[in-house]
Amino acid sequence: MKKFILNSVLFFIICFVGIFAYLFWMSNHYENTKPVNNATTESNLMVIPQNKEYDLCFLGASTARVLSRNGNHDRVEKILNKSIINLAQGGGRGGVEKNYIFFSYFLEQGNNVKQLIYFLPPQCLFTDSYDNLKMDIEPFKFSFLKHGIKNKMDIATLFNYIQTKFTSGWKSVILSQEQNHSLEKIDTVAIGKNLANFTRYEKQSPAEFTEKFEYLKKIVALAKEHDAKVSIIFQAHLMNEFPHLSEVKNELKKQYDQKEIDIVDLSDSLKEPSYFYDHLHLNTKGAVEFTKKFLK
Amino acid sequence: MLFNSFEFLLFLPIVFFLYWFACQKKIEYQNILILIASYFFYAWWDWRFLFLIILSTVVDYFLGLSLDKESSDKKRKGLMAFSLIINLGFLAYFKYFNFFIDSFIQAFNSVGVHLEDRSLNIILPVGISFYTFQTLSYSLDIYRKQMKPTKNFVAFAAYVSFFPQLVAGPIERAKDLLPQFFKNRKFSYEKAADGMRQILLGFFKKVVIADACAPLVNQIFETHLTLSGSTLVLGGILFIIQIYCDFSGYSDIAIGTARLFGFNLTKNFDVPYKSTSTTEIWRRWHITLGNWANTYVFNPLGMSQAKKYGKKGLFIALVVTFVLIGFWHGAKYTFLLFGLIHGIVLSLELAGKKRIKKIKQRIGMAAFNISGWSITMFIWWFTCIIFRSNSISESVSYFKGICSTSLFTIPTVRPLTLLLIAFSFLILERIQSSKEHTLFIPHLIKPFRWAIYFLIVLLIISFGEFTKDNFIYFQF
Repeated sequence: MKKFILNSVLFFIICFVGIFAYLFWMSNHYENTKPVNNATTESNLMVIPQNKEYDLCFLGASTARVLSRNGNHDRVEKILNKSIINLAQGGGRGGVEKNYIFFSYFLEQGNNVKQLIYFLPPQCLFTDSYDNLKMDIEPFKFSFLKHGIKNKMDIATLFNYIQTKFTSGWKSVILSQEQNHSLEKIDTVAIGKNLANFTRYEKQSPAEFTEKFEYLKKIVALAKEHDAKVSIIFQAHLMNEFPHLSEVKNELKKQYDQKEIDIVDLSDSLKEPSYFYDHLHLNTKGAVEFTKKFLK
Repeated sequence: MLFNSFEFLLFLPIVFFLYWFACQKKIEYQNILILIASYFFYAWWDWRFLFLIILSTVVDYFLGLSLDKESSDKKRKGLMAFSLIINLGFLAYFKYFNFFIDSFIQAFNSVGVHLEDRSLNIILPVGISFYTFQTLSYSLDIYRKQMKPTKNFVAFAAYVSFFPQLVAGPIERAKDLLPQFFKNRKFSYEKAADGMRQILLGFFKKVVIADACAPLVNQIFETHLTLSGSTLVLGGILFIIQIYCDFSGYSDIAIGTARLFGFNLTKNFDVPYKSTSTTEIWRRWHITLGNWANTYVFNPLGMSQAKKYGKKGLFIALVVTFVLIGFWHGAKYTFLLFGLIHGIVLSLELAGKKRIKKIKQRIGMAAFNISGWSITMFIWWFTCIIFRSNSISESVSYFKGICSTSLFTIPTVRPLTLLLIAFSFLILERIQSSKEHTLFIPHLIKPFRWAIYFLIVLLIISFGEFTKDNFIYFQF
C-alpha cells in the first residue's frame, strides 16, 4: 500500500511540477523573444503592464477590437491624443465575464485608467459561449491563474488556459491578421444568417441575462472604485437591430443614472458599407471615421 | 458523476482512502462504504432516481430469497414473472413509453384516425438498462437454480449499485460479481497499479480520441445535406472510432477503478476492430451484453425454436436476439434496424459456415483475413451510420449523400492529427491484443514504463477535450 501511494503521489507531483515548469519556461521564453503590443496582438496578458496609467480602456468583443487591429490602435490614439489599452477580444472571446476578469486583473496589477469605454454587444449577455474556454491566446502567468481562481472563473476555462499552452496553436494566433477590405453593398441574406446565430443562444428571455448583467455591474463598480468615468456604447453596425438590444438598454437605464454612466447607442451612426469589412465590423476607414466623429 | 469530471478526481481518492484505511478491518464496513459511495455517486446526477435502484434492489433481494424457498414450479414462475414485470416495467416506462405511444399514434394517423399526442416528458434515469439487467440476472439465475440467493442485503445492494460499473457497465452477472463482496479483499500493489494504468488508458481513449471526434461527428451528421460524399464517409469512420473509444474508455475506467478496490470486472471489449467477421466482432464488442443476451435470450429461445424448426429456428432466435440488443440501446427505429441487420448478417454467417471455410482454404489465410476484415468493417461502418442517425430517413439521406460524385473529392473536414492519434492507438491496441489491456506493461523497466505514462498524460493535456459531454452509453 505504502509503495502504491508513494508511487502515485510521486507520479502526480512529477506531472504537476513538469507541467508548471514547462508553462513557466514557455511563456517567459515567448514573451522575451517576441515583444508585442496592443496593436499587434489580441492577447490581453501579453500587453497588461504593471503600475501604468492610461487615459482610456476599451472593453468588449470584436467590434471594439477593430479599433486596434490593422494598426488602428496607433491611429485611434493619435486622433484622440490619448493613451489607450484595448482589452476587448475578438474570435468569440469577449464575454462580459471574461471582460470583468481581464479588467479586474489589469487593475490588480497596479494599473489605472481615467475612462472606461465598454463597447457592449447585447448578445454577450445571452450566452456563455463568449465566456467559456477559448483562453488559447494568453500566455501563462501564475498571477492570472490565481486571479482566475479567486474570481471563480469556470474550471473548464481555467483548464483550457493551461491546456492550450501545450500545443503550438496559441503562438500562431497571437499576431492578429484581420480582414480590412470595404464592403460593397449591404447583403440582407448575410444579415439574416448572422442574426439567426444570435437568436440561437441558450438564454433568450430578458430575465435570463441577469447573471451576465451582474458582471457588467461589477465592471462598472470596479471602474468607479478607481475613479474612472464609465461609458457604455453600442457599436456601429450594418445589421438590423440586435435581438434584445432594447431590453438591455432599458435594464441599463433602470440600473444607472445618466449622470453616473454614459449610455450611448451608436448602432445606426454609420450606415455606409465602405466603412465596414462585414456587416458587423469596422475596417480601418470606418474605425478612423468612428473615432473622429464620435469618440473624439 | 462523470468519470471525466473534476468531482470524480476528488471522489475516487477519498473513497479509496476510506476503504483501505478506515474500513479495512471488516469486509462489512467496506461493503457499507461501497454502498454509500455508490448511492452518492448516482445521486450526484439526480438523487430522485435513487429510489428506482433501491426499489429494484429490495424487490429482487426478497424475490431471490422467496424463489429459493419455494418448491412449487407454478409459484416460482409467478415470482419470476413478478420480478420481470417490476424490472422491465420500469425500463419500459422510462425508456420505451413515448416510443410506443408515438408509434401507436402514427399507426392510427396513417389509417386516417387522428389521435392526440400523449407523449410524456420522461427523463431517462442514467444506467437503468445496465443495473436492471444485473438485478434480473440475479433473479433469473436463482430461478434457474444456478445460484443461491444471498441473505446479506448490504452486499446485494452494493453489487447492484457498485459505482464503477453502475451507469454504463460492464453488465456483471450476479454469479461473477456478487461472491466478490464476500471474499476478503486484500490490497494488491500489482492489481492497483494495473488498475491505475487502465484508468489512464480509459481517460486517454475518452478525452483525446472520443471527445475530439464528437464535435466533428455532430457537425457532419447535423449538416450532412450540405457536405460532400467523402466527408460523409469520414463522418462514419470518425463515429465508429468515437463510439468505440467512448464506450471502451468508460469500461477501462470502470474495470481499473474496481481493481483499485480489489474487484475484478469482466472484460467488456477485446480489440473488436481486428475482427474478420461480424460474428467475431460481437464476441469482442460489449462482451457482457452479448453474454447476457446469449444466456437469457438466445439460448432458451434458440433451443425452443430449434426443436420446432431445426436450423431455421436458430436463425430466428439469432435475429430476435439482435433486434432486442438493438432495442436495448433505446427506443428508436434506427436501433431496431441496426440490430436487425446484425441479426441477419450473423444468421448468414452461421448458414454459410462451411462455404466460408472452403473460401478460406481456397484463397489462403492472409487474403481471407484481409477481405473478411474489410467486409466486417464495412458492415460495421454502414450499420453505425444508421445507429448514429436520428431517424431512418436521415440515414437514407446520409447514404444518398455518400453515393454522389462528391465521394471522390477531398473531405472538407480533415482532422489529420486526430486521425493520426486514433489510428496509431488502434495499431498499438492490435499489437497488444494478447494482453489484458493495451497499457498492460508491467514487464517493462520502470523508467520506460513511467516515460509511457508521462507521454499519455502529455497527450491528454495537449489534445484532450474537457467538455461536459456524457459518455455515449449513458443514454442507453
